[in-house]
Parts: sequence; structure tokens; C-alpha cells
Amino acid sequence: MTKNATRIHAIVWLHLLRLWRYKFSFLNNILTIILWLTIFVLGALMFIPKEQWSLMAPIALWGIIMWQFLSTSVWYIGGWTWFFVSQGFVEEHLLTNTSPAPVLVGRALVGLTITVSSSLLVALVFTGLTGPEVLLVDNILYVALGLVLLCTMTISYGLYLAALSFRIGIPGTLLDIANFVSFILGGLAVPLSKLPPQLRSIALIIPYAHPAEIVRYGVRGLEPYLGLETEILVSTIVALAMATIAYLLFKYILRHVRRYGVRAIGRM
Amino acid sequence: MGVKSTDILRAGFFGMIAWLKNNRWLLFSMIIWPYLTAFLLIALGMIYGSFETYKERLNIANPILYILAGSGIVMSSLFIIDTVATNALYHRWLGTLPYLMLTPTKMYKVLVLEPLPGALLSSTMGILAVLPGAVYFEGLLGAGKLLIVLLLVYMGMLPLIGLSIIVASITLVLREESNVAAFLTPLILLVSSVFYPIDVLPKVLQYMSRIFPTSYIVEATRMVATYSIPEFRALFIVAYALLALTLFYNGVASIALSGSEKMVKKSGVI
Amino acid sequence: MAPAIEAKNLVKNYVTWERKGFIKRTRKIVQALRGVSFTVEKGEVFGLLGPNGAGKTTTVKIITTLLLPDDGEARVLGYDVVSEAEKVREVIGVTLSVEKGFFWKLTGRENLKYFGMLRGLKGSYLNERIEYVLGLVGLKELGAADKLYEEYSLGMKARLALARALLHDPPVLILDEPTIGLDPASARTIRELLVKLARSGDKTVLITTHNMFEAELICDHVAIIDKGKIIAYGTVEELKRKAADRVSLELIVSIPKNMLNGLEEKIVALTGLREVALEAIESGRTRIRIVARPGEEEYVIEKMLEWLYSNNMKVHQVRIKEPSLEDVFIILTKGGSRGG
Ligand SMILES: Nc1ncnc2c1ncn2[C@@H]1O[C@H](COP(=O)(O)OP(=O)(O)OP(=O)(O)O)[C@@H](O)[C@H]1O
Ligand SMILES: [Mg+2]
Repeated sequence: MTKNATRIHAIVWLHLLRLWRYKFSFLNNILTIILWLTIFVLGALMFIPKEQWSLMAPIALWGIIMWQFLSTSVWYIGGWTWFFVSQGFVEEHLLTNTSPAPVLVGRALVGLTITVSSSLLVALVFTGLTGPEVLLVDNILYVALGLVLLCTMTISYGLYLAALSFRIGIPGTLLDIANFVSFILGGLAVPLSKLPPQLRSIALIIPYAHPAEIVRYGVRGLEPYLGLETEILVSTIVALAMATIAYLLFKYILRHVRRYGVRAIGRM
Repeated sequence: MGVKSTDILRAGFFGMIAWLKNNRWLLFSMIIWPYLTAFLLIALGMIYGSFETYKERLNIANPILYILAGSGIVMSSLFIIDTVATNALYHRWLGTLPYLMLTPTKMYKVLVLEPLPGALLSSTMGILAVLPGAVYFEGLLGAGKLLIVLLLVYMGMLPLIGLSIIVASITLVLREESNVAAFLTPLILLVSSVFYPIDVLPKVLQYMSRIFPTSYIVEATRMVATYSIPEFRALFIVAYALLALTLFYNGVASIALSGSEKMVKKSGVI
Repeated sequence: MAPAIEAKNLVKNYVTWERKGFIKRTRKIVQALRGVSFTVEKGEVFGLLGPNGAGKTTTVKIITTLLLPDDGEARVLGYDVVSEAEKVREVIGVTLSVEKGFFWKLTGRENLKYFGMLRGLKGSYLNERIEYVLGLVGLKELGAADKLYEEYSLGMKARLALARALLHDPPVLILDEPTIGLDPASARTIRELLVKLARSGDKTVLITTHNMFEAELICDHVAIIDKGKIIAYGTVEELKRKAADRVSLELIVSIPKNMLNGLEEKIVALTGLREVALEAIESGRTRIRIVARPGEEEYVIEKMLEWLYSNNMKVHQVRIKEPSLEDVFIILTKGGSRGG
């Protein structure tokens, strides 16, 4: 038990130290993300008549924040696996009786740092455009609950990608496209009730849509599509299921690695 | 000077072909990206608000086509800067940079010419990908307009290459493995205000936009999108602006390159 | 008492997919190990020698629990590498590659701290161990302990890899080519350290190498592996004796171009010996190698010289060579009759 505590300590220390040592790269990443987001958000805001900004702006802002949780999980966990594998870290960690999974999950810390700092900057851009009311939140508890559930899902997704890239190469473009599509179809940017019916039925089966509805309830009291209790129930079950699958998948993939060797090419 | 320009271009061409062979996804993504970003923006906009509002705000005739062309411009500029700036980094990874540095004039030539075929191809792909959309919406006239945009992108490529070499010089000095000046690309595109009127930006950024070539390309594209027959006089002004920027950036770039070369030689980080 | 390392009839096949165009791929099986057995006693330095692709790394990976054998079994200090992998990992220190497996933007000391903590070491004990191993491998002396790993030279990287293997004070060290790419002085430092650890530190060391000179210097026992099979085992002296029934003769001769054709067959016919090799060397000269049995050499040389002179060929040098481990290695791994 104390051994595991020391391990977790080591992993947290490693990621924070590396975050600090690579600070310029991370700064560059944050800036890049913000700028790209701003380009598209400004474009999207041009569709909204000025008098509706007060409702739509916070929804767009939180959509972006939630989307960042998704994309940083994909890039900072899934994308980093390429480096992790190619540097022989899978073997080096196994030799210390440490599974690579917690080390990769630890990367979520880095992703979180990036998400939080860039979200603050995006919030600043929004405040400049629409005034400070955009930052107000109805009920912070629901926002927090929604974000925790969403994070559980996105980290699990990041781990699926990591496990996959132990075996095969995943083209980066594909991940980018999946990310972008989730922005709308995953119900991150748009309340489910506002989606056209055909798209909505797709969104309902994408896990992220449900915690997103909880977050939006917390932000502006928008009634979740399936009702608050149902959304919480569904999100919790799905999040737990996704985490369990990630755990089992890693067990399977590590056995596979021991049998066939690590032959990952990672993303292109 | 043993190396001829045509040789460098040929080398760049074959390098590009080999690279595309190993990165088949890239070709696909060049075609898909303008549509994907346009789709995303339009879908989001329609859900959040309405097309009518957008049309009014930007004062353009066909917003869908305009957004498609705008995405094409965004992608093309991104590809150009990326190709040129990362090319210098590749040389460092490959270990050929020290060899290039021995003759600074040649280094500049190589850094400009070698990525040129790739930059030409990718920017052409970025714009031509939109062609089906243009023909669908406006027939031959749409295709003609798009060709004007392509021409503008080609003209804008020259100052962009100079700009990219400045970026590359900075990266070389900063001794980072990845392109740490990557944020410059979206910054340039942000101030070029492709998808929104420039007046939504703070004043500082509006002034800043004047020094970046993409702003002029966007401006001209919007002119083409606004009137059925573009005003050629206005287009010529844009062309002159791009020419001036070409001279300016490539001048600065050659100074920056020899500066960074000196610094790199001194600190030994190659 | 159980031996330090015991491998019995290890078999391993890799399945690879060969790309044939955009989508088509064909399955290919690589027989990396075809029944490898050997035993390493406690406190000895054991060398696993073999040419590239022989299966050394594969063997090491199986013994270090990173790879499951398709068949056969292996034990380290009595623990089974398949069913008791965790136990095995606790008693071994491993270097897999001297150039990988460390974080670039961490210093050597920080890297060691990280991997030490993953093993559950902590506090002052961990710090003491880090100081000790950094001193042992000479990184302190080089002033490199607090440099970032990305600034390390190859030799420093190799030393750090060894330091990590020693960090938790394991009784068994398994090192895959620990001196590859090192300059002679660094390689010597590391070799001396390994011998010292085995002699006084009560550690068992298994190293793989294709440096015969190194193996001759430090290994108590050697096994030669080729194409996935152990083809020779013994002390260095014993292996050399395997080649003692052969003497290699070397003649350096100027031969006109038109005579080169069929020369090999002519020499075989002339001397009655089958192992003849020709090699063109600088300034148009040719090196002729002939393997003879002891006692035959004078007769063979006489015959050869007579023939060469009668054909007006100029002889520059004649040498008789005693066998070295390298000869054994070449004889055993590259054709020739596998005598002895
Ligand atoms: N992960 C893998 N997948 C497929 N084939 C492999 C894999 N690893 C090794 N091989 C093949 O197995 C054989 C043995 O390889 P191994 O790495 O064990 O050789 P080695 O003796 O360590 O060689 P070297 O001296 O070059 O390090 C080789 O033919 C190699 O190509
Ligand atoms: Mg090997």
C-alpha cells in the first residue's frame, strides 16, 4: 500500500516537473489553442443576433471549456503514448512492477493545467465581447459534477487511444476529426434540445452529451433533455462503465504486449 | 556555387512525393479540412443563431461559399507556414543543417526553394478542394472567383515564406525540438479576420492585421464575394500591398537567418 | 541451491506483418528462439554472445519477464519468469538499451529518483542509494549527475542506465549490450565495475555482447547463440580449445586478374583443404585464408609457395594465426564445419 503511495507520488512529481521544464512548449500550446478557438468562436458568434448573446454566449463558452477537456485528454494522454512507447518506457515501467496506465492517467494533470489556463483566457476574450455576465454560474455544484463525470469519460477515451497505439498507428487527422465532430454531435457545444432531431438521436448515444447537459443546467438552469435525475444517473453509469472498460483494456493490452512485444508506431 | 536552383526544386519535389507516400492521410486531410471547418462553423452558427444575421454582419452575397473559401485560405496559409518552418527543423533533425550553414546564401535559397513544391501543392489543394462547392453554388462564375482567390494565395505565399523563415530562425535559436512559434500561425489568421468583420477585434489587433499578408488575401476575397463582378482596381491595390510585404519579409528574413546562424554557431546548438 | 538464472528450452516466434501496398499485408513468422537452454551460477559473469539478430535481446526480454516464451521455462533465483514475474522484477536490475528509457528534460539524478520511487524506495534510503550508484558508475566524477539527460553523451547515458539497474541493489544484473557505442576508456570502466560487482559484491551478471574481446576479458562462462540456438557453451578457454584443432594460414599475394577465376577451386585441389577464402585488399593484392589442422601447416605453406612462385605470383606476407575467441565465434556462426 505505501509502495503504491510512493508510486503515485513519483508519477505526480514527474508530470509536474516535466510541465515546468517544458514550459515554453506548453505556453505555446495554450496560446495556439486559444487563438484557434477564438477564430472560430468569433465566426460562430456572428450568426447570433446581438440580443441573444446573453444566453448563447455562456453556452458557447462552456461548450469550448468542455471540448478542451476532451481534446487535451486525447492529445496529452493518447498522443503522448507515441513518445512513451518509442522511448521504451513501457518496458522500463513494467520492470519496476508499475503498469503504464497510471503514468498515462497522470498526464491528465498536464492536460488539466492546459485546459484551465486556456479556458481562463478564452473566458477573458468572451468577457471582452459580451460583458462579464457571461462568467456567472447558477449552481457551481452541478457544473463541478458534470465536469468530473465528463473528465472520467474523456480520460477513459484517452486511455483507449493509448492502449490502441500500443499495437497500431492511429492517424492524427482522424483523432482531430473525431474531436471536432464531438464538439457538435457530442452535445458539447449545443444543448440537446436545440439540435435537429436526427442529430440529436446520434448525440444521445455519444457519452459526453449527458454530463454536458448537467453542466449547462448548472450554468444557466437549462433543463437537461432527459431530466436532471436521469442525466445524472446515465452519466454516472456510463462514466463508470467507460473507466472499467479502460481498466480491462489495459490489462488485456499489457498481456498482449508481453506475448508479442511492444510494436506500437503511435500516431502518424 | 555548385547547387542550381532547379536541382533544389527537384529535390524538394521528390521529397514531397516520398513524404506524401508515407503520409497518405495528409492528402486526404488537405481535401477534407476546408469542408470540415466550414461545416463546423456553419452548423454551429445555424444552431446558435441564423444565416441572415451572418450575411448582414459580413455584407456578403453567399455566406456558405464565402466560409468555404475562407476555410480554404486558412488551410492554405497554415500549410505554407508549416511546410517552410518545419523544413528547417527537419534539417536539424537530419543533421544536414550544419552543412547548409557553411554557405549562408545557399542556406537561404534552400530554405526557400526546397519546401516550395510542397507549399504550392498543399495550398493549391486547400483552395481547389473548395472548387466543387464553388461550382455547385455559383457555376462557372464561382469557379472563376475561386481561381482569383487561388491567385491571391499564390501571391501571398511569397511574403508568407519570408515570414516562415523568420519563424524558423527564431526556433533554431530557441533550441526547442518542436516549433515553439506555432502560435504565430493562428495569430496571423486571427487578425486576418476571415470569418468575422475586422471591427470585432480590439484596435491593436486591427492595426496589427495590416502587416500580415493573409489580411489582404481575405480582404480581396471578400470583395470578390460581395459584388458579382470584382473591382479590379481594388484587387490591384491588394497585389501591390502583397508585393511590398514580399520585399519586406524576405529582407527581414535574410537578416534574421544570418543572425540566428551566427548565434547558433556560437552556442553550438545545431 | 537454485542457480541465479536458468533457461530451459526457450522458444519464441514473432509474428510480423509485411506491408505489400496500401492495404495488403502478409503474415510472416520470425523464429527468434528455437530451444535455448543455459544456466548461470550465482556470483559469475556470464556472456551471451551472438551476431546481430541471433536472439540475444529476445532471450534477455524473456528472462526479464517482458516477453512470454512460446515454450520452455526460465527461472531467476528460483522464481518463474512467467508465473512469478513480480518477484523476478524485484531481484533483477536491467539495462535494455543504453540510449532510451529516460526522460529528456530531467537530470540524471531526477531520473533515478523517479524510477527509485516507482520501486517503492523513498526518503533518505533512496537518496543514499542514488548518491552511491552515481558515484559507482562515475557520473559524479564526470559532473553529470545534475545535467539534463538530453545533454548527456552516449557514455553518460550508458552509465546512467547501469546506475538505474543497480539502484535497488538487486542480486542479479541482466544487461543487454551495456558497452555498445562507448569509447574504450568508458567501456573499460564499466567492465571493471561489473567484474568488481560479481567478485566482491556477490552479484550475478548476465551480459550480451558481440564484442569478443570484452567477453574474453570478463566472462567466467560464455554461451554463443546463433539463429535462435545455443551453439556453444563453456569457459572462454574451453571454447578456444574447440578451435585449437585448427590453424589459420594467411597469405598476401599479388595475383594477375586473369588468374583470379577459379583460383579457389585450384587451391582446394592443390592442398586438399576445403576451407579456403579469398579477399581482395588494397593495391590489387589478395588475401588467401586457409584453415588447416595442426601439424599440416608447414606442408600446406610449402605447397602453396611452390605453386605461387611457379606461376610468377608475388608473395608479400605469410602468417600462421593462433585461435582467439573471435575465431571461435566466426567459425561457429558463419559456416565452416562445426567441429569440436
Ligand atoms: N518485436 C519483434 N517483432 C518481430 N520480430 C522481432 C521482434 N523483435 C525481434 N525480432 C526478430 O527476432 C530476431 C532476434 O532478434 P533479437 O533482437 O533478439 O536479436 P539480437 O541478438 O539482440 O540482435 P542484435 O545484436 O542486433 O541486438 C531477429 O530476426 C529480429 O528481427
Ligand atoms: Mg539486441
